[in-house]
Amino acid sequence: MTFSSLRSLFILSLCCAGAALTDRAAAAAGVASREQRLEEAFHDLTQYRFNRAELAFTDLAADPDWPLRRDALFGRALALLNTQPQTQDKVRLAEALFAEVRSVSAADNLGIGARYFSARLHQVHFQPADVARAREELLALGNDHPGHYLGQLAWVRLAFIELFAPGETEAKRAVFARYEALSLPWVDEHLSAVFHTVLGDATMVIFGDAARATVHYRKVVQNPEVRELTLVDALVRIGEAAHQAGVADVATDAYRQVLALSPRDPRAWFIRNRLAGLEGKTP
Amino acid sequence: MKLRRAVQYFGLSLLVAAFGLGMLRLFHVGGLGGEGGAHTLRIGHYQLESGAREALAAVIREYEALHPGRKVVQTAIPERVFPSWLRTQLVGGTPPDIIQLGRESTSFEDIYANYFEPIGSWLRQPNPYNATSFDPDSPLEAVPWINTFVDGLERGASYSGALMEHYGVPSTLFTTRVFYNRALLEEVQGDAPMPREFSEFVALCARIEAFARERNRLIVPIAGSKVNAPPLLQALFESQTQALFLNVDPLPMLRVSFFEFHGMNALRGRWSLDSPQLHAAFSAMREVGRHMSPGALQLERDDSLFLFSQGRAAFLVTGSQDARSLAEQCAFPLGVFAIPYPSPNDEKYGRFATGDVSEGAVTTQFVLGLTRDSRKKEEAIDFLRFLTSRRMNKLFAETARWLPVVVSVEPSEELAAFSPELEGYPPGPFFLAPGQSTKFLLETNLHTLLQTSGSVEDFLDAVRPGFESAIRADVMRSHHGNLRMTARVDSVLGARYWLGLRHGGERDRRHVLVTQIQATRELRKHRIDYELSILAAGAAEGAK
Repeated sequence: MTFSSLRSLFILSLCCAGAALTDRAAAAAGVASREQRLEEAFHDLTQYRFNRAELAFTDLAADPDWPLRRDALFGRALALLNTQPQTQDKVRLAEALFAEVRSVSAADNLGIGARYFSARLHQVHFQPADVARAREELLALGNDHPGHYLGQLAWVRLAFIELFAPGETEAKRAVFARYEALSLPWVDEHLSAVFHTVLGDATMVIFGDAARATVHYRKVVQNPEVRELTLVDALVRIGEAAHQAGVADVATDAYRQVLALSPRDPRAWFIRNRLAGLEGKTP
Repeated sequence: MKLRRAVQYFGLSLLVAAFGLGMLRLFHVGGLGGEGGAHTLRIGHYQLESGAREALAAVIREYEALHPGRKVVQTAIPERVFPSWLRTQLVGGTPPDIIQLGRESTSFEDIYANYFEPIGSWLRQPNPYNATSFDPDSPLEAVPWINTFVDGLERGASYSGALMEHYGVPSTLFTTRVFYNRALLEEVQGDAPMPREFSEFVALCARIEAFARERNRLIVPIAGSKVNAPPLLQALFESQTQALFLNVDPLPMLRVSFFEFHGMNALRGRWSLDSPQLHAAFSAMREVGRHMSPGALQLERDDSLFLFSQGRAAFLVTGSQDARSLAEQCAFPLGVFAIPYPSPNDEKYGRFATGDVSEGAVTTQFVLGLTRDSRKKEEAIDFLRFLTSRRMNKLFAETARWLPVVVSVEPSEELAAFSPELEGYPPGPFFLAPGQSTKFLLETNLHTLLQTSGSVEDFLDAVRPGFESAIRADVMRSHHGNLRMTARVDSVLGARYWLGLRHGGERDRRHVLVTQIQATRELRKHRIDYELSILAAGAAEGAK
């Protein structure tokens, strides 16, 4: 046996071992259907496994005739925003993929999703951000689909952009008034809670108007969807803003609810002191 | 020619031997953690304090006795090298079945997501080792496992807010206390009680120094080091400034949750180095810092432990996890008391004092998680349930002399002094660790505050020139970190949107939580952008 044939034999044995291991892994994993793999890839995204998800979406989108290819393109575009290494080329590719998803229909759920995340590319993912373009696309989406979940989320994002935009404090009063007058048929109450939290926080940061902020914070807790820590935080906001605004009964009620819901909250000591002050007692 | 052929054969045989050894090693390691390992579970952790390994070993012995044929092996890795060890094991595909969480260094969410198994589904079921068949006095038989922990696993390394999943279960919690040399203090002050307030503590430190001078003995009041000094200095800083920081933030949250808000409040002039509360805080820090061992902030933790255990320091401020180590190392009787804060009646520091600090938010520790690649997930979960059952948590706590963490397990009498104080005001932003630049500036100038010839004015003069730029650098660092996370959440939100469509258009609780988390992040982003624009406008106006 010559040296070269021995070497070939050795390399062949390595390949066989590798193939056996791969085969074993594949057998262990089982053969999932493409639809299952698609769902698993989206689940991977929720768990921050972006690179793994992107590989799966790319593979699934390779078949031009697959009915769910558009879903895979949408998933791949989402994954590309965070796969490592992060580059602007990937964001541009994501933009192209969202455009492809939109080109089939811009008005169905997936098309609306592609429009929303295209706007987000300009707001968050491109460097530098193009906030004007993001604002324009979000506004169009919000106006075109005011009854859709993502259309309403677009209004929440617009509120952030416009309320906190640089500018004179007095000039912002008109912007605030416009958002306060915005009447959306909220399809999901938690969006309404986020919206009023934004308005309340912006009111406090920009105008320091505790009475006006209290109105928005109270709308947050009227929402049955607001639970757990968010509810406690919302109640603390109400208590503190109402306390600052001198609305004692609202503050007292909010503080009592915080202590009842979360007696071990690290802020409980302060809240008990505030409450004692409002009730004229020694803490 | 023959020689050349021989060399080639020799090289090839070396390659074959190396390959064979590699395969052997691969299968051997896989066997320990895998199916062929005769039901062997491996645990990797970094808790090297005296008592921790013994306590885990005691629980393992009980487990192996209850389950003949099963074996559990623990490997303790020094904390300093643990993050590197962890990454090597995870990336190499040879992690133990169970690994301690909490020292993943950076991007822990990526590590949790890719290498650890979410354990929420198990946590929602009762722990079978809390059943009365195993523990006749157990009141936790039907209680879901998650609710058997004192903090409900809401904080610490057990839960990832970003991933909205639980990844580990704890066995203890740590609190910070002042340990003292009982024999030395009896020499100094007879049977007088230990100080309860700051002024009494400082007076006692001065008395110890006078005692050492009179007897010509090498004794310092407090054994300090770069690890042991900051908790005390931090506590005193907070005692004077907590209310200030809470009241200056425009958001009515009763807490300054993010450093960039805290830093921005400084840049906007809502607080400054010249705020009277900060002057009082630095003064209190100086009073106590002067009684620490010379050059304390340059010393290592072991130096302060050595000084204290040699009887050359009266006090040592450290965590409850060191209680057993200290008891073993010190030849004198030990005492413990809580950090003495200035009371509102304090003549010098009462003006800004709000009282004691609450330890209600103290996080649980020794959190063990299940690795995703483990081939023995059910066995590993079974062991974690056993370890955190009422009976075993008591055994663990008593062996390690650490605080228990399971509901209805009372700490032993000797640990009562370490139980968390739940009354008091919440801890505030870290003075010595707000951000890398500010921390560096403060730490490198702290000697001008603490040294005998130093003063508050010297310290402020040294810090002031670089303070604004350091705070600004840290605000921007924190701001950019937040922007990166905001971008990451977009992919998650998009995926949850698609999964919602797939399952009938319903948005589940997690979808709602992701939206709320991202709203909080965006508020941070937009508020900082807005306030930076105000600062820039002010600077432009000033330039005109």
